[in-house]
Amino acid sequence: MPETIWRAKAIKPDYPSLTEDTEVDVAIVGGGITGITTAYLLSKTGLKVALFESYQVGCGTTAGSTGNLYTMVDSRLHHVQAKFNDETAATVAGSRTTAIDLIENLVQKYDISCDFKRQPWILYTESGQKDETIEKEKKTLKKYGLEVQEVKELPLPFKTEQAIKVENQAQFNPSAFVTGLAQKAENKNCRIYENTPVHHIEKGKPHILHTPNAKVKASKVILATHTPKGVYALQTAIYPYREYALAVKLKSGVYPEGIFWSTDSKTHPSLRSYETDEGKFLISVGYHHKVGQEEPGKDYFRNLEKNLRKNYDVESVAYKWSAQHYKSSDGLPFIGESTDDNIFIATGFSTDGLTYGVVSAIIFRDIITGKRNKWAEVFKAKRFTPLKSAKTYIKENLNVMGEYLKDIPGKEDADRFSKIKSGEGKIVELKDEKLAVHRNEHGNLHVCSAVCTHMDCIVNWNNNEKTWDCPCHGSRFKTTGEVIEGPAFSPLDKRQIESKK
Amino acid sequence: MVIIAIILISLAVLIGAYLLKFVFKEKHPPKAFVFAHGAFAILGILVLFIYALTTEEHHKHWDSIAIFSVAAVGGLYMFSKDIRHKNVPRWVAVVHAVIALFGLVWILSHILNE
Repeated sequence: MPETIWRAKAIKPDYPSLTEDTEVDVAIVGGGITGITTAYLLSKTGLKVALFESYQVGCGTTAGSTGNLYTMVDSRLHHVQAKFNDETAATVAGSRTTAIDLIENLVQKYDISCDFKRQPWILYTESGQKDETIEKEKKTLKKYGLEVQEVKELPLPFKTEQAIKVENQAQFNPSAFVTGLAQKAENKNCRIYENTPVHHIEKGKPHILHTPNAKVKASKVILATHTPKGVYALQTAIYPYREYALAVKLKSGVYPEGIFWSTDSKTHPSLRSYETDEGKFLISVGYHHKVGQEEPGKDYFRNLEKNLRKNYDVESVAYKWSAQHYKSSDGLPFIGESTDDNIFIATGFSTDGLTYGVVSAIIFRDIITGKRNKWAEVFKAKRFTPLKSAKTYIKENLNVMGEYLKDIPGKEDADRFSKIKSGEGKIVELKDEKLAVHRNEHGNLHVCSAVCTHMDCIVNWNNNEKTWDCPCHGSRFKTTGEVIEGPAFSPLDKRQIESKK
Repeated sequence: MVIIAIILISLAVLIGAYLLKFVFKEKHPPKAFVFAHGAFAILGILVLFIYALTTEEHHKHWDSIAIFSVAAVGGLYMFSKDIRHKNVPRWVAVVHAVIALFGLVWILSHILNE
């Protein structure tokens, strides 16, 4: 998998994997910004905490983000206000501002080297038509106490028609922040384990988490895994998407300072710069699509680069990566206790996950320690908002049903293993079973069942990232079948090839 | 109406017979067929139910509805296992199939004897 610029520029801590059974008050699954910040906050309360990360701390979705921290939201604050009410929009804005302030305080308190910088957030439109989004957003942001300025000139190499700016937002290296905070979180009350995937949770009192080499008893479990692991009805209300990012060096031109969001560009909806010891980089993010539903043959990284080159004098592409986000049916994240007692979840952050991750950590600390949290009701995971969710809910679940209905006998990408070239993956049907077959660079075949271990959808080959992606609920697997992310606990079922097919 | 219900349930039975093969081989059945099987069965029972509520005939086929409903409970149980990537117990599949087939024969025999 491609390495992100954040991961490349962050320290890589080395925590042990769990080898002995243990018992804790709170078990946290997932070592991204949500998990580590929660672990840090809970460790300060005296509770015994253990965090389990499948791979390395700060290497998952956190490392795939843009590193932008802002009060606003991807779906626009004025939409939240219109769909819900003033109080909800105020909660969204207030909680997110508090989360950014907390990050800044932690960075300063512990001198975490993560290039945290207060930066402006800029929303602009390139089209000549009058953009109502900007007008509405300006009005809404002012209402919630943010100082909005109109901007005439932007440091961008293409024509913009209208723009607004809000100062005092922030940018940082999210992987560096998470790994830095993890070092401060770990103490006698809080243990962090890497390379320790949780592959089953036996629900009860206490819950028992099964990892490859040991079991963990925990009174409370926090699934800081982006989407809850296992089967939850909530998964019909969160929808997995991927988008792509490039960090490039420029031969000439201006690196824009700030968070630049376009209201109308599909090819560069988000732009920013990042300065490291290697010099400056321009980061562009775009081309989002549902997980496992790429347009066949489309090279998203190449398209992103091609479009960036139309506007910028690109010298080289230094880093490229992609990341997953989950949109929620009503536009707000789900944070709080799940339908299972004492199992807590935080999901549906859309592309606003860094800030919402920290909001979740604050809510979890308060709920678990019995303190009242003024945001908890707005974001609660068990909320039921049929009128606000119906349109998205129906559209997205019809899409999932469509993916299930593609699972018909005889439908395969190749009828022979020999048709799979090196580096390719294809679905092959053999003896009434669909197989996910990948041929590596050495010509060796990896064969797994193509049935996703979460909820039985057929996985699709992701040629951009060389992974098997489930188009229904967003589980992703390595070519060898191991889980990368998503709700699936178990790897794809391995198969031995006995046929000459 | 009863004929429509019988056609729908017969289609469900045919697809079910095909799906049984996957249960015996401990393989995951193709989901398009699973959903089609369930949809035909539910529609068939629903049509039969509407008939029972609206007809003025003496025999309302409540007996067949009861048989198919018992089969449907087994079907829902198997679906809940299968969709969570768990193997469906063979004996449940067999009992489900036998009850559904018995229901089909039962309703056909009543129709043919009327």
